Amino acid sequence: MDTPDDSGAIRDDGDAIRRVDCDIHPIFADGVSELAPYLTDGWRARFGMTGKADVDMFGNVRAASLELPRSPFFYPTAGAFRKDSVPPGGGLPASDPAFLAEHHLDAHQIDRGLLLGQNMLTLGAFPQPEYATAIAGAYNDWIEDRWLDADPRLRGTIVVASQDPEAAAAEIRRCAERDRRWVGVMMSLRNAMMGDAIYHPIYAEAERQGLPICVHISGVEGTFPQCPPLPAGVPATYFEVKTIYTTVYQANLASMVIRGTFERFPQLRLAMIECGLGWLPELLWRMDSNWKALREEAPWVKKPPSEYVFERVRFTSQPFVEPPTAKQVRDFLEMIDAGRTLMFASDYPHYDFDDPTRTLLQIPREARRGVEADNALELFGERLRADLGAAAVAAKAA
Amino acid sequence: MRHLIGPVEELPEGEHTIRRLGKRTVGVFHTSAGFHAVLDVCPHRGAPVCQGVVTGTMLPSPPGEFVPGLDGLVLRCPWHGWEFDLRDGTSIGPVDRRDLKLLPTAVEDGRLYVDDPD
Repeated sequence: MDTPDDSGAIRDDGDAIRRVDCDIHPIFADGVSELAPYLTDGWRARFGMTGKADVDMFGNVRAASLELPRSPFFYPTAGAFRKDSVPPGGGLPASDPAFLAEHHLDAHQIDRGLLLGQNMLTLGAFPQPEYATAIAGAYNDWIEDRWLDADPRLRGTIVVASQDPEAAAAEIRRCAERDRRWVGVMMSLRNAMMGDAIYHPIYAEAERQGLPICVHISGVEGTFPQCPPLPAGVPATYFEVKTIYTTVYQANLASMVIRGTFERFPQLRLAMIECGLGWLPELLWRMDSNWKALREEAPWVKKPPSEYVFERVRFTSQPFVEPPTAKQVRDFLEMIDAGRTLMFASDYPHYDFDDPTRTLLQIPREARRGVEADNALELFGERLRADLGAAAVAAKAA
Repeated sequence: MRHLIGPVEELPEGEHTIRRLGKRTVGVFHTSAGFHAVLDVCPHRGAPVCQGVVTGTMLPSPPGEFVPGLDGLVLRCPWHGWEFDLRDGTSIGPVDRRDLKLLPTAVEDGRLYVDDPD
């Protein structure tokens, strides 16, 4: 039976999905070698995963094993993770599905959690398209086995390497068509803006499968030349990087709208995850204002640019805005139509984690339900909503 | 009130004239679609819009394609570049709900007039 709740919205009483976390980062327990079972013999050999010591001409063991890209310069000095997220038996935070379920999903009453692979955030930094493609495929298999099978509340985002867009499209197809627990596409970015044609094969397949494109800060923006550059130059501190990396996502959003990506792919949706929020009103106002004078340059932009964003793009809440007063929070949320555009995310197990209760209490009542679950359910659809976990595990076993 | 602009042959197609008519400044444009009298105030920020160029524009098109059109029928404001269709004053796009204010024109005995109802 449908009953009006205290916000005036209508909700099916049987609806079990009341809280969705759109940003959870699973982590390898034993490093990238966990992918070995999912790689071919050739890739295991290339990545130094065969167990055979590789000796150089001086008799020293070579460090032939694969390392995932990371910034050697920019990292939080206090550590990247919540200290209490270490599993009781030891190991890395968010490396144990059972402990993550207890420590995060159960503790915060999270009904669905979207996984964005911590170790894949920097995939776009690989200069070798073949490496990145092989790793993405193996990683997706690992996520299914290690994480999606472990808890029916978890959902995956298909990792794809945009270094080879056609292979990325094939990977989307492979995962989406075999398992409905994949709800989006986690696309690595290159030093090309998101409105660029190099991404078109990925957008086309994501649209065909009804999966939103998900982009997330990589942490290697501005570090490697094949990654999106940071503006103005090279920063010196993580403090600077964490403050300004959001400019990459502002630029990409403008690029997609103005280059006509949302006209070219009329069903394409986008989730900007941990890409910053406070910049959004200025970007929307600026695009709308500039469109009035400059539309001749992009005549395919057929309505105010902000409308494409409000219709197609969703943003995650973490790290939540922290202006000096509660009124400023409310004013800001109204500017971005948060009841429609914002989705809760915790960023577990990172140190800048947002607690759902504290975040959601800052959202006005009329917008809260959208932020807490409904905007994510609208964006990710039936694949997020349906109780697929147990059925998928059983189908796999059979 | 009716204002005489002059003999029609003094304003050939492609030309325009800006006149003070009573308290208002009005641009009279001769395009392939006829004569158009435009109040010289851009609805955006009040610019003297009639000092803008008469041009064409790009029609709405699929991404990556350009379809030129409305050649000689678009007035582009000299300040912020908003475009208006001279035939009816509407904003091109439309990028805005605010349009140009047009006044009626008339040709009688080879003479061009602008009628200002105010």
